[in-house]
Parts: sequence; C-alpha cells; structure tokens
Amino acid sequence: MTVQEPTGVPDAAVLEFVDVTKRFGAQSALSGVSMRVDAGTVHALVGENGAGKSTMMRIASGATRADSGQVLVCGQAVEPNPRSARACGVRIVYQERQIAMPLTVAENVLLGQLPSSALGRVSRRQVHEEAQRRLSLLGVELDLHRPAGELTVAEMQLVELARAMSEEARLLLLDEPTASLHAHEVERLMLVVRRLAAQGMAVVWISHHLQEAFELAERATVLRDGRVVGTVQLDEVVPSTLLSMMFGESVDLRRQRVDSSVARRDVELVAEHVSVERVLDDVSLELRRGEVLALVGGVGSGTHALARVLAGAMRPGAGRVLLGPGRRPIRSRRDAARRGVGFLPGDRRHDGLLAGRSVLENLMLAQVAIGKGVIVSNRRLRNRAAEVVRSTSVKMGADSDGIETLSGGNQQKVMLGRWLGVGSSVLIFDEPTVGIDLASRFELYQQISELAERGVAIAVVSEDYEEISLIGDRVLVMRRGRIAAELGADEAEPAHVRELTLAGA
Amino acid sequence: MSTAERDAGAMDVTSQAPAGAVTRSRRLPKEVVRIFLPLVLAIVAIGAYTSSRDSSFVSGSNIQGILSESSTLGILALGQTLLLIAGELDLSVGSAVSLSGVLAAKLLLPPSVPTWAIVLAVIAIGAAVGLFWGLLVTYVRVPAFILTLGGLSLLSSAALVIANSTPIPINSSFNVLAVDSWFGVRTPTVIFALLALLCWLGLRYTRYGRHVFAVGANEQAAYLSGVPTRSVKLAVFVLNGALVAPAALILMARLGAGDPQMGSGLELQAVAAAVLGGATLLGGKGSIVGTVLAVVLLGVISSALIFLNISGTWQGAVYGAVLVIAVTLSALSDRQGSERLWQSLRRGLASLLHRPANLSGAGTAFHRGGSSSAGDSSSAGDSSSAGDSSSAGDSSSPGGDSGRGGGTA
Repeated sequence: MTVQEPTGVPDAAVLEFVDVTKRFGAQSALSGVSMRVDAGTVHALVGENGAGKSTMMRIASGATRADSGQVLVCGQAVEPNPRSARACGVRIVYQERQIAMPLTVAENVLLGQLPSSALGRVSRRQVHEEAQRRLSLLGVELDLHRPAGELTVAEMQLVELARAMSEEARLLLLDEPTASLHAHEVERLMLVVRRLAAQGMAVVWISHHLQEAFELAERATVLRDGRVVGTVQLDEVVPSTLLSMMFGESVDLRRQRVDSSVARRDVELVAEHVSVERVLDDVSLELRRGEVLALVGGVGSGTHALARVLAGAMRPGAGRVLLGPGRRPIRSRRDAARRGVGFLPGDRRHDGLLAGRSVLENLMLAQVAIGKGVIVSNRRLRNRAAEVVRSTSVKMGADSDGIETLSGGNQQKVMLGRWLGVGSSVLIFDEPTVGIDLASRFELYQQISELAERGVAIAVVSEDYEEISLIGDRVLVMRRGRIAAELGADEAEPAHVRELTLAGA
Repeated sequence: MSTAERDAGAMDVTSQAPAGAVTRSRRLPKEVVRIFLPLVLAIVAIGAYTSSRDSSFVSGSNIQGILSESSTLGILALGQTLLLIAGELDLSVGSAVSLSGVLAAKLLLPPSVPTWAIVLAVIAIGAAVGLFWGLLVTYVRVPAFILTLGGLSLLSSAALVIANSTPIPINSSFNVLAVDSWFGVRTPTVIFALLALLCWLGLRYTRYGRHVFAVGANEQAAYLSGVPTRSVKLAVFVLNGALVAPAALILMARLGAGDPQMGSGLELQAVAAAVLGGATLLGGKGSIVGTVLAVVLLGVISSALIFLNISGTWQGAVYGAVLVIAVTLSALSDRQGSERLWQSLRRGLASLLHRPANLSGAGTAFHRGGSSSAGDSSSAGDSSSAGDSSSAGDSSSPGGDSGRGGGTA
C-alpha cells in the first residue's frame, strides 16, 4: 500500500476506461467504452437500465473482469479482484445497504478494518477515535455508540461512506446513491460528496435523476446500449440534450394538462379533518375525478401517512375519509379496495410484490383479493391479465415467469395493471418512480395522464420536484402533518416547490 | 446478432417479449422438475433396491401398509403445508395428536359416548387450539414458532396428566379406521387421499387458496391489495387444528389405545414432509402434491428399513439425512449457475412430453423480442438482478413480523 500522496493534483486522471469491452454470454454489455474521471471532480454516469453503468462500476471495482481494453486507476491497471482494487484506492458504495445491524455505528464504520493489538484485542477507544475521524472527514455527526440498526437508511449510507474513507481512498463509486433517500437527505449527501471532491477525491455518481447530475457534477458520460454516446460539460448543455443522448430521440416531457373544467368535476374522495397522532394534524382535502393531485413534503411532513389513510390502510385517530358519490366512509383497506381505491406503495419489494410468485399472480392479486365467488377461474385470470398487459405495455416473457425477472419499471407497470384490472376509479401512488429507469418513468407519466383523462382520480405522493411539476394538476405542499400550501399546475416549478417544501424544515 | 444467436438467446428466461405481449411457458412448471421428479425417483429407487433384496416389498399388502401407516403423518403434513404456504407453522400438532387421542380414549371408556360425538368433540378441540394460536399470531403478533413450541410442551404435558402417564386402551368402536377397507383400499389411506384432494382443490381453484399463497408470499402486499390477511391466517390455523382430529383418531385406532406420547415427534416429521414437498419456512411456497409424495417417500423409507433389517433406531437418522440432503440440494439448485441446468432439464422433459407440438411450434411459441435489448434484465443489466432477487427474498420473507399498514410514516 502506498503512502498517502498529496491529493488534489488538478486534472489528474484517477479512473480511465480505454476501449473496454465486456460480454455476458452472447450479450454484449459494454462495447469499446472509454471514459476518464479526474481527481477532485464529480463525474455523473447516466443511461437507461441495461445501458451498462453498473457493469462499468463492477469492472472498476474489480468485481468483474473486462474482456478487452484497459482500466486504469491512478495509472495502474486494475486487477480483476476487489481486494487489489481496494488497494489501488477504489471504494464502491452499492445501492443496497451493507450494514451489520447489531453492531454500533463506530464498529460499522470500521467493519472489516477494526484496529487491533498484536493479540487481536480490539481497542474500543481506538475504534471510536478512528470512526470519529472518518465521519468528520465527511462533515457528518453521528452517535458512535448507537446500534446501526436504529439508523435511517440515509444515515446507514453515511456510515458506509465513512467506511470508504481510509487513507488511500482515491476514487469513490456511488451506485444510485439517492434511490432510497428523502429529498433533504439527498441534499445532505450532495454536501458530503462536494466536500469529498474538494478534498481531491474523484467521485462517480450514478443516478436516474438528471437534476442531481446538473447540481453536483462537472461532467457527465452518457451510456446507451453499452456504448458511450458522449461525455459532456454539464454547464454547457440542458437536461433535454442529455435525455436525447440517452434515448437517441428527442424527448418532450411536459404532460398535456387537463383543462380547467376539472374544478367542476365530481369529487371522488374526501378527507375530513384527518389526524393521526404525531403524524397528521387536521388534514382536509378533496380529490376529483380526472385530476392528478400531487402531495409533496419532506420527512415528517406526513405525506406517506396521508397516502395510506386515503387508501384505507391506516386508520386515522380523528376525522374520516369518504368515498364515492354517496360519500360513505372507508372502513378498512379491503373495503376501500373493493370500492375502487387502488394503492401503489412506494417500497414495491417490501409492500407491493409477491416475492417468488409469478407475474400472473402479481398482476391479478387485486382481482383475486376482492373478486366475488369461491372458485377462481385460471383461464379467465389469464385472459384478463393478457388484456391488462396489453394496455399497460408490460415487457415480459411468459406469464408464469417469476416477478423478479422483470425490471423495476415493468414491476411498477404490473403494480399499476393490478388496479387497472379491477377498474379502480381512484389511484394512490406513493413515490411511483423510485428505482425506475427513465424510459419507464416517462411512460408511467404518460399512463397517469391518460388515466386522468379517462376520469380516474389520482393522488401522487412524491419528493421529486421535477416529477411533481411534470404531472401535478394541483400540488399540496405538506409540512409537519399539515397542508402548508396549495399550488396550481402553472405555479409548480420545481425550484418553487422545493423552496416551499424545505421552508419549514 | 445473427438470427440463430437471437433464437438461442430468446430461449433464455432473460429474454423479453415486446411490450404488452404475453406468452405461455412451454417449460414444465418449475416444481415438477425440481421437487416432484426427484421425490418420485427417490421412491422408485428405494423401492427397486429393497424389492431386489426382498420381492415382497412391492406386494399389494406391503404397499397398502405403507400408505395406511403414512396417513397420520400425511394428514398432519397437509395442515403444515397450508400453514407454511401462509408463512406460519405449528409445532404443537404432535402434542395435539397425543392429547386428542387421550381425550377420545377417555370418552370411549364406559359410560361410552357415541362415536360421532367423539369425532365431533376431537375436531372441535383441535380447531379450538388452532384458533387460539391463530388469534395470538394474527392479533397479538406472537411469532408462531415460539408460540407453538410452548404449545408443544403445554399440550404434551396435558396429555400425560389426563392419561395419568399410561396408555388408555380402547374398545373396537374405531376399528373402521384400523382394519376396514373401501374398495380394497384401507380406510386411513382413503381419508388421507380425500383430505389431500380437498386441500389440493382448495389451494388451486378457490379464492381462499389464492389468498393463502398471497399472504405467505408478502403479507403487506396482500393486505394493501385487499386480501383479508388476518382471517386468512386465522382460517389456516383453524384448518390445521381440525386436521389433527382425523390424524389422531387414525393413530389411536391403529395403536388400539390413547397413548399420551403417541404423537411426539410427528410435528417435526410433518414440517419435514412439507419442506421436502417444496414448502419453505419463508412462506408463499409449497404444494400438496409435493407433500403427498414426500410423505410416501418417508413411508417407503421406514418400511424399507424394516425389510433391509436395519434397526428402527436408524429411522430418525435416515429421515434427518434425507431432509438435510434435500434442502442442501434445493439451496444449491437455487444458485445462479445451476439455473441454466434446470432450465435445459425442464425444456428437455417438456419436449419429450409435447413432442408433436414442439416440432413445429418451438420457434414461434415465444414472441421473440424486438431490438429492445434482450439483455435488459440479464445480469449484465444495471439493476444487478442477482443481488435484487436474493435480497427480495430476505427483505419480505419474514413477512408476518413486518406487520400491517400502520406505523409511522
């Protein structure tokens, strides 16, 4: 291991890909990819799912071997094993958290690198000092004694970042670092990353959020189908340029607004003075047929709880939720589902999908759940599923394949199809595009628009300001369990929404 | 990519049809190849070996004996399969068998209660015990494993106390369950077969059966989709409890006594049979056909041990070894590398079975993907499919504990 050299040599290439090719079986994952990441910079790597971003990261971190071409870290060729990549100063933080829950924060920071005496005794004091030193490099304060299991996902990620901060770290690879973070946590993470770059670290940032790339990175490399479409200076281009590079066609984002007659349409769902202890405080709202109502708010704003209350999945301590023209109260989640309220939870894996079961079963879950009659006809389910698949354009193989064989975007389409199959008149989306590739994201926006035009009442909880300004007909900004502001579509510019959301935080 | 290559690739599970198209799989269902086939092969192999030593192994009366003696375990394994599919389990069924047997034998002592009343009483007791566990699991959220482990202890102690630690001999009222035959098949076998058929039909064709799978695969997802998750779980516990009754009465009739220890160990064998048959402790998986085959395999093994003059004390070791080997093989076969092997095996078998259709149709049966990157979801893709699917299992599987809606958002 080398002694730490002075960092921050400007424009020194830390990571270089030269004409790298990688195939998996007959599939070509990377063909002739070249990229250069300099010390002290944040480099965004963007592209659709399957474009090859993760493959590049796996090669850079030594987890996979390139078939041909050169991969250099600080001028040295990376050997295809993680240990030697580590020795070269490469650190990777994966999308999934790698935390030992029962251990303390300090122990997790030094996981696998615990300093110990010759006899193997671990000095608690030494551990704490070293952990503290690394956290302060990030400019982050965490209680070192806390069990890591009590941390939020964002805090766990910071612990992993701190773990990466040993002396010889040169290059930090962040794979979808913001995928499961709240808006304010993203801000904090960006601060940390900026700080690291200022200290001379080279950072590769993979994200679906172009906004993040523009805020954080100097340059972006765009991948499509395993090829580099180009590397751009981000201060010289606009987002739609990047999108066009990613998709190979020009992209128009804005959704066609529903006309103003929405205000005169029927109210489908009403929340009256809804309160949930410590989460929601006297919230009232109306959701009309044919509108897309966006609910935005940071942590503690209560938007997620409100989504569950509206769906009947959480019983409010006070107040009621009324549904349909008859304005009868919702009694349970099952009652709501039967009366046409579809709910698409934010954490698909945990709350949405039947793990290990087929696409068909996942698609028809609501149908099976709330349908009438004792006997279930497999043929009818299959036919219904085929109709739904056509209308939602799910990309899939056989309907008996496992749900895990689908991409995130297609899984979300299955979730949507689940409710379209039972003809839901109200759809409640919680963070609909988290973990979804860009192409599917815009397809989903399109589908939401079309559903609204057909008269479905739609509520979307999101922390993605861009998303909100793209699809919301009406935006409710929530803070500390209350509705803090209401915006029309024309006032919902991302920057404005963000300002309002973060105002009270 | 040449056409030939694309065809080769498209046969892979990772290939994708154009958006909006559905295809029917031409492969045999996964469980047929991974679970049913090995079980059948094991049964045949053991049968063949043993009968080569002693041809009376495959005689009608021995087969009758194997099936009828397996019935008690089989019925318990049916209930356990339902529970495991729903993501729960019940370790108290062995003790419940002992308790039910003892109570039935007590009721048979003069002044004797009518047989039908005894049957009803035993069913009611079993169902009530199941209901009790079910209520604690669904409403109080006690983990079923620990709860029913306590139940195992409680009920077996109760059986000993009631029977005064000695078997209670019975009269001939239940002989129908021990010696009689229906159309040449012994009554216990008939009862087991009927119950198995009911469970199979129920799981496959009824809405409730689908709910059981959904709740086990992901309780939260099922709940949010409108499945009445609590009543589904409750009903499975009650059903499992009620199934203890026929199991206990058959065993009691065979032993000719209500023995306070007659059911001990059966709960583990029942879980083992269900797991051999394809169920997992994580829920959402399992099949009645697999369980029945596993029960038959265990029966064949224990009979073969007798025919081969191997001491009965080895039975536990053999059962244990079978289970260990089976779950190890199953875990190995779930690993990435062997996926290909299984697929080719499934395809090969399917083509043997559907030869005529396959000759003309194999190429067109799949809607071949357009240019839209067949590699999207392969491991080359961005979303690291390997890691994804494994952690999917991890995060959602202990489902029951993760609980319902509520909570703090």
